[in-house]
Amino acid sequence: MSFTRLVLVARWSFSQLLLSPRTIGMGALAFTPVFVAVVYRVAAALELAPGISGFRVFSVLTASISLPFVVPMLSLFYASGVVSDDAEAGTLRYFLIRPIPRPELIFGKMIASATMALFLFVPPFVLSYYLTLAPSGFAELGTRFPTLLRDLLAVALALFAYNGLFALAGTVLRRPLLFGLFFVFGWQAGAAVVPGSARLFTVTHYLNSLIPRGGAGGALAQLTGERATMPEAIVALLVIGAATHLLAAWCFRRKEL
Amino acid sequence: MSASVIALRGASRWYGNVLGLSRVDLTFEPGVTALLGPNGAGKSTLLKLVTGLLKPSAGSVEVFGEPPFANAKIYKKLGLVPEEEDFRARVTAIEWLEYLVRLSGVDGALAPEVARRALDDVGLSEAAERRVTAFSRGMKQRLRIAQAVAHDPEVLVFDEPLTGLDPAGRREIIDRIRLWGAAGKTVIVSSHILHEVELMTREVVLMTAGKVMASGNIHEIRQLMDAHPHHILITTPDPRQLAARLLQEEGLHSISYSEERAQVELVTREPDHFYRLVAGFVLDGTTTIEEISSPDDNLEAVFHYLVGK
Amino acid sequence: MPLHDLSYQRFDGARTSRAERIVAIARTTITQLVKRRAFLMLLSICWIPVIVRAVLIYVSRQFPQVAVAMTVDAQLWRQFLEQQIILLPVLLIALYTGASAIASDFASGAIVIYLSKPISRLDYCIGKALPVMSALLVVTLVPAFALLIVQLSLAEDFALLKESPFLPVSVLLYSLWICLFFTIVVLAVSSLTRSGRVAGAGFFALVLGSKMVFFVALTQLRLNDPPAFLSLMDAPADAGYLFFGNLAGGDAPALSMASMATVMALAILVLRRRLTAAEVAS
Repeated sequence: MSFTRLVLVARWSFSQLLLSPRTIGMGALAFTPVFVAVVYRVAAALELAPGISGFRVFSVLTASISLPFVVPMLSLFYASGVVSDDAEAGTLRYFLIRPIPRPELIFGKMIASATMALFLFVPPFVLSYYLTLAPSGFAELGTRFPTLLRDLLAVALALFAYNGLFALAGTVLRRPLLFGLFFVFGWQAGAAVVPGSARLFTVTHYLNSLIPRGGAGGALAQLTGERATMPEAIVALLVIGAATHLLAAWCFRRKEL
Repeated sequence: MSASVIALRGASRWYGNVLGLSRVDLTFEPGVTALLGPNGAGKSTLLKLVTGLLKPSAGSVEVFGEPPFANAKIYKKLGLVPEEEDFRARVTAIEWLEYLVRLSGVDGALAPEVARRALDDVGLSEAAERRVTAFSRGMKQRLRIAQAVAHDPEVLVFDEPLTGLDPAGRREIIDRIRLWGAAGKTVIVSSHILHEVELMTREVVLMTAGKVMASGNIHEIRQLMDAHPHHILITTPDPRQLAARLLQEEGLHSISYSEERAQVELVTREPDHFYRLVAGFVLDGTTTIEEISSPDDNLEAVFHYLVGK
Repeated sequence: MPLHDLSYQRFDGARTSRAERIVAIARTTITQLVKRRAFLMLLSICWIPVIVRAVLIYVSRQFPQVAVAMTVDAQLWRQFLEQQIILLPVLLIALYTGASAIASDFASGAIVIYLSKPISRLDYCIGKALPVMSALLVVTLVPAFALLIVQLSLAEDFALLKESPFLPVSVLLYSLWICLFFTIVVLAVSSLTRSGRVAGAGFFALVLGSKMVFFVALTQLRLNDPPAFLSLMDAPADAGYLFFGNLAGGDAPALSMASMATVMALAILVLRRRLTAAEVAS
């Protein structure tokens, strides 16, 4: 595999994603936590939200919007289009007849889709962190900063896993969006409430294990199996991501136009 | 026996229950070969097999001795001009071509120069900085050709290359195709426009309903078509006299003449014999001939007889 | 004068009626939909809640002790239709049938062909809306009436209808209202792009996003109970109280209705804007 070609494909694909008008819509989606953070700040200024700490607000935004909604939607939107976007733009055929191995081509595009999702997610996430914690002072911002970093790393891992999964769906299925929505809002939501090991086959289980705020906490959750340990969660997300990325490349290698 | 550049052996391709290509045995050598047939004949399927976008359901396809499907090595030596489809990437022509040239293995430092040269070759140098989405149909077609030839491949496959081009553009591309073929490249051209294909090459593959009806030189194919005797038109001041002389000859299927048009039309399975005969009449000064032509010794007639459309 | 209106030329031939032209557009889509196994599977999955409810109704008739826990009254049908929205069947069907409806016409250029025929933009929109509405009614109105028939056939009397004589009308009107709402919204989103995938993601993000933002986050933040009318998923559910004569229940049904009407008006404006000649030609 040529690293130079991989970077070339990734850069090109990323630039096409960035220039697309669809980025505006996805950007608006990524800014929903910021919107709520602004509403909270206004409410706090008008003394309509007594007794709620900034960190509590940030935790709620993370647990209620960013993790269950923004992260999977961004990933689904970009990763499921790794093949279909080029097909719709009329450019796929030109790439397939270049002397570049197909796995390299799709790896480059998957790197671009993951980067794009992260690129759209991080600034609003950090902005909402600032907006919610700033009224508590710089000390609070500094104290909670490791939590922010940890959250961002956890989200990066989750995006890696989602990216592979939805890219695989985009390569194999005619309607990857429907599959993705079923997976995120059907399977994952259902597996979370059903007792048993179904939750092990979700991304949210491991993501919530890395960012336990907003749900059942700590040791008790681990004891009851509602949470995995941090090493388990990291390994699981890496395995899911790696396996699905490789499978997507394998399927793309065999895809006929 | 040297291996052919492109070889299909018993190649078949199904789309579900629909047969796209049926047991095709073909080879393509350096030079220009035209692929002809009505819609649904299997031309696009054959081109996709040759360019590695599809796998054969049965049989084999080889390009430079290897199966082309998803074979990155082959694409260094192969260029495809795909059929017209909507193009919506947000790039300028030079950006697009540079990217493709770099994907073709050209060094990053050389890619701009190679891309510009390719744009010059197809007459798009002045539009290099313009967005491709703003191009006319003809300009987009030229760009498709540019991306196929930029890396100087040994095999060129054109799917309807003249679509969208104005008459001057068509003439230019036809000339280039002939030049590429004369330079030793293996060029396959799929087209509907018979009279323009005739300007490119005499080597044809005629297809219908997924099968190859005939392949080879147009005239040789015509000669072999015993079921369709040749028509020969002779323009002469005295058609009646000429007709009377020819009537005696064997091998004549039918003969007619017209005083108004000053023409004799004869139908025969031995056209060469009658060409020599009429030439003899001219040489011995007994007959004045103004023109001899064969209205059905051409691609259109061959196509019509074989394909029936 | 629109280009297709060639009234400056004499035309003595017969034209089909406007309704027939609209139905011609709808029929093509519906025919293609019912041939797709994926669509039929999706419909089957969306009927699972219906079967569960039918079983519960049966069980409540057979085992009176269960009937205490499950009251079969008019609100059951409101809850059923509400859950068809909340549990996603309505959203998924709207997405499947509507996301590509106009987007694919833009992508293929068929929109130019449609609008060059003697049909108006309204006719085109109605023709595109009918398949979506029909599919949505199959997962709302049809199962609701099926449940009603199950209940009436198992009941010893028509007490339910005596108690709630307007129940069938409520079911009909509520189903039509929510189906119309989601149909217009998904078609408006579909008209904004040439990609069905993008339209589907946009539609889902819009509906679910509004719910997430206004309901989940604000509830968690205890900024008073956030009004349902701000959520595109909860407003239709809240409006149901109005149709079933239970104004005391719900959050603010009248506001939810007004909110839905406003969103539909905006969606119609988007459709009008997108289906102008300039947009279509480019």
